[in-house]
Amino acid sequence: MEEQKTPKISVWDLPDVPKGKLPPHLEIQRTRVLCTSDAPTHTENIRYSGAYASMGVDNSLQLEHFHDNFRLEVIRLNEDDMEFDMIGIDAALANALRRILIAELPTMAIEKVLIANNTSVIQDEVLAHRLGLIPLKVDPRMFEYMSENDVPNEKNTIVFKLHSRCERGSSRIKVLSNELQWLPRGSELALSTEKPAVDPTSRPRTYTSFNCSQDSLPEFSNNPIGPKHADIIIAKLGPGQEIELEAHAVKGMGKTHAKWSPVATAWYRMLPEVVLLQEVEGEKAEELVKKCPVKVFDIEDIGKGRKRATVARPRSCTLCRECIRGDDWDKYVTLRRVKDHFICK
Amino acid sequence: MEHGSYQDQSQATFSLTDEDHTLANSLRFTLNQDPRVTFCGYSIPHPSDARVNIRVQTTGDPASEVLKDSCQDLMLICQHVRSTFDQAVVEFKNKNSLDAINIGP
Repeated sequence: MEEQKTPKISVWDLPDVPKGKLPPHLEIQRTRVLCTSDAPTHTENIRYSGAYASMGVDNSLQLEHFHDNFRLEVIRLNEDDMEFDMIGIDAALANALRRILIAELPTMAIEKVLIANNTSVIQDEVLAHRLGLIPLKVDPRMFEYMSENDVPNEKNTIVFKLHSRCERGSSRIKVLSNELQWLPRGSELALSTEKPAVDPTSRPRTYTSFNCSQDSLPEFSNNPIGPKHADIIIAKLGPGQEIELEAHAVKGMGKTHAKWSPVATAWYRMLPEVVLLQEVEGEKAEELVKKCPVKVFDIEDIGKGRKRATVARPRSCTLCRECIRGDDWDKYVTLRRVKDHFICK
Repeated sequence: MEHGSYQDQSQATFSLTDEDHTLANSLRFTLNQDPRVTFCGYSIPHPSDARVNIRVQTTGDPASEVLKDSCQDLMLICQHVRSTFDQAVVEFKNKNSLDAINIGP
């Protein structure tokens, strides 16, 4: 009996093993997060350079590869908000960007409040806290940071004054943020340690020492500095109550206190991908379209009166998993998220 | 600060002050992509101190060199992102102002 000798072929030469690329199911695991009804799976990013060495695939970072593949598209851009897409970047970098936006971008906010008179019902410290949270419309790049030992001068401080009183006999008034007046020449309150000046022509020393008026700088002469929104209510005064104070604003970062954070918030999410595993026709199609609360699916007629469901707006999917609830829908729809496509707002 | 041994330069733990996840996670990402690295990870010993420990083990190259190279790579990536962003904003503004001109009378 002769043994049939089958020629030995190495595994790599078999026709259905792709060389240099991953087989499709592994490719899906590497680039997509599968969102099943229990929990998302394959959420980790396989970034180790030798991860797929046994398959002959090089997973290491190539800068040229990144340069070619990275794309950024701006969807919406207003003065106050923005939405853009980053494609081809990793979650670690997108998160680092988000953290930096919230915590490490400098802005100006009111830090010290010198209160001369406060007979309102709002306590001093609450008033100072509220003033600190008011956003100011000024470019922080024109100012420098001020440390403990620095003297407040025109390069690191902005001075505002607020003087408001409610006359006896009138009804309550609201103190709005547009009553904060900018003082480009610095503080007007004299230091309490000053003895009455012997020489009447010299200026008394105040809390700040501005060498020149901030008005004279070209950026500020036409755009006065003030709060961004003029209708923020700072306090409410009843008849006979008065507030007189001076506020100094300095440069800081969100890390120290949230009032210096330049964004209301910044967030990102991965692009959702909805895939229909099988054809969904007729009544099932209508049912599917009705199920989704954000109308991701749409009906398409394919002739002969038959209808088919298609995925029309996958971007607006909020992953509520309504379409895979109930029996059997798992076979028709899968939800996935693309791992390197981030929608940032 | 680097904890390692003088004999074996290929593995070390770097302790960076005044840093947090923002830098450490991005550094870990670029370190992992380098084919000379066998192991890398970071930990934060206590959340109240701003201190990060990054551990790097390589296939022979001195760990500090590999760390410096990945910092360099990270800087290049960020510069590229920045320039792409600026370009995208300019294109968006041009496209929108063009639309406004087209819609106008």
